[in-house]
Parts: sequence; C-alpha cells; structure tokens
Amino acid sequence: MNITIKDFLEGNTALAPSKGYPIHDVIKSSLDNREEVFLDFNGMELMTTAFLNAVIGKLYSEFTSDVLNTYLKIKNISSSDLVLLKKVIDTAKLYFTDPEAFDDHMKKTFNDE
Amino acid sequence: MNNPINVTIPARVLCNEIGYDFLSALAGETISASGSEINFNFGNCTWFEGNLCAVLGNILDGLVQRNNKIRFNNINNDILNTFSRNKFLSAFIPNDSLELDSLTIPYQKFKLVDEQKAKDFIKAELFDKPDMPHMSDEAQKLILINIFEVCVNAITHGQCEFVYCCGQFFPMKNPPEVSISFVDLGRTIKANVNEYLKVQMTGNKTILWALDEGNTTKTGNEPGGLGLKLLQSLINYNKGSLQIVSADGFVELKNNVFREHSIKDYFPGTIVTIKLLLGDSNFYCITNEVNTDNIF
Repeated sequence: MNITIKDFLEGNTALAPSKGYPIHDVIKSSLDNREEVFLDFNGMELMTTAFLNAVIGKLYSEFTSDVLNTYLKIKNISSSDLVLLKKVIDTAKLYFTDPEAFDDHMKKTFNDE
Repeated sequence: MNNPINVTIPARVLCNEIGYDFLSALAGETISASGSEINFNFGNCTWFEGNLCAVLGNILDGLVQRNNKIRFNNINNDILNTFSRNKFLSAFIPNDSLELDSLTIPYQKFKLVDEQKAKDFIKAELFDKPDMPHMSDEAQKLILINIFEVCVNAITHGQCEFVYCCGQFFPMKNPPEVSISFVDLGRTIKANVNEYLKVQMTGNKTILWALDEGNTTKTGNEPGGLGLKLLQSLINYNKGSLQIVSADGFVELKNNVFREHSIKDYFPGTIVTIKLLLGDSNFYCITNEVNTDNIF
C-alpha cells in the first residue's frame, strides 16, 4: 500500500500532532494485517518532530522494530527530514522499549543535580 | 467600571532580567482584572524592544477579552512608530495607518489551524526581506522547523489556544541578526515538570530539565517532541542565543553555556526569545548519512 503524506494535508507543511494521527491510523491498519506500506514523503517541505511522532513514534507502542522494518518502507524523504525522522525513531525506541527505564533516566537526571 | 489600574512602563524594556521582571509583574498583576480602565504610562519609556510586543500583546489581548479598556499615555514617537510598523498597534487600535516595516516580523497570534498559511507567513517575513543575506534552503528550513517546534510545544504543553509572536531585524549589525519572541499564557514549564516528576524544583531547574535530551513530560502511547532540544542545537550551530522565561525561571543559552538568571516575579506562561545570526548561509551542515533501510 502506498501512503502519500501530502494527500492527507492541505499543503506541504505538517506541524501539529493532530495532523499526523489520521496517517498513523491508516499505517497501523495496514500493519495490523501485515501488509507492506510505502510511506511517501514526496512534496513535503516542512515537518516538525511533533508531527512525525504522531505518525511514526506512536507506532512503537503497537509494533516491534522487526515488524516496522519488515513492513514499513520510507520513500522520497529529503536528507534533512530523514535526520529528523531518525531522531524521532531513536527517542521513540528509548521511550517504548523500556518506559520504566526511560522514566528512571529522566528522574535520575533531576536527582543527580 | 472598576477603579482604573495605572501601569508605569520602565525606561527601557529589553530582553533581560529587568524587562522580563516587568512583563512578569504586569501579567501577574493584571491577570484577574476585568471591567477596568488600564492606563499604560510610557512617559519614562525611551526604548521597548520590538519582539517583546509579543508578550505585551498576549497580556493586552487577555485584558481586552475580559472587557478592560486600555489606554496608552505619553508614548514617544519612536516607540509609537515601532509599535505601529510591526502591526502591534493595529491589533488593538483599528485604522492604524502606518505601513509595515521591512525590519520587523509583524506581531501575530497563531492558532496553527492553517499550518500552510502560518509557514508561508513566517517564511516570507523572515527570509524574503530586502537587504537580508541569503540563507541556504536547508538553513531556512531548519530555522522554520525550530520556530514551529516552539509554537507546537507551547500549544501542547501550555494548553493554550494561541501563540503570540513578534520579531525585529537588525540588518546593520555584523552579521545581521533577528530576534523573535514567542509567548503563551498557559501552563508553565515549572508546573508541568514538577507535576510530572512530583517534586518542587525552581523555575530555572525545571527549564534546564526540559531542555535536557530525552526529557519530556508527555505520558501515554506517544513520545514527546524534540522541539527544545533541536532548538538548542540550532542555536549552538548558529552562534545565536536562546532565552526561556517561565514561572520564576529565566534561563539563557549562549556560546554553548546555560546561564541561570533570577527574576523576582512570576510569568504565568512561557516566553521563548531566539536570536539568530543571518550572515552565515550554510551554518548548518548535515553530516550524518542515514539510510532508510532498516531504519526502524
């Protein structure tokens, strides 16, 4: 299945998380059925990490890295957006792999001061 | 009509402890005013930094919504011109006739409903100015992403409807600079972080905590955005500065160093002021090659 992000928006800009949830839901639905998804960033000019979190970060609460690597493919993403996406993925992995450890890490940061 | 409230504007309202203290006190003291006449006396004021119109505008907007009547008294021509040219005045006084100045990012409040329009507006106001140095597309994009990360952050964490913004260019500086302030009168960083961690940190410590990589007050099945962390890296690359004021906290990032300031009052929301240098077209280079295969 091909999902073009721009088709869900009124332009080439995606800022708020709310714009990402419908895209996330379509991806999730395909991945639930183990269908291959091509997520197409063609035509996108500006995206925030808040938006990318809503589209992709949230998937880590529902699927493993193995499932995502097998069934979700990224297309036509610019190099700068790819760097941004990688940051979002790394944070989501840390957040969902072990939420308690993530929480501990944050609290420790404070307590160590 | 209740008793009038008289506010004396200090001699110089700048992005420093004195300026933020004054604006914090003003926001706090007028937050419950309704049905009053509020007189702003600019008689002593000789300088008011244009980007701080975002803060004053956010406060005044709330006052107008609560049926207060606002008057500006004894305002000098220079400040009047600044307020007029950056469209601050016309937000409160209809038919203000001075033309928009190319050295300002006009006073604006965003709801972020029409994202395309918001982006096009900021992009045009920030980068399509005459005499401004050209910045690479990637550098422009990075700045825009960071600006909107701050706006989304404010709306998400501040739980407010609007973000207020205003900016001022300094083209004669070498290199040229722009200062932009973003303001929300909503939940403070201090309230969010202390509630999340169930502790009682000072405003400064909560801001520093929020700026630390990996820290977020978001809970549930969606991780937090990276807005403030990205902004730090932009500021460090650009050699600009970042100021965050929230509750009783005021933290500044400059030359890779965080400096904690003290403000006497309490700002009932968050102010983010960024100063960017505009001369370096390629200040930000993406060095990490990332492959999309097995990215997850």
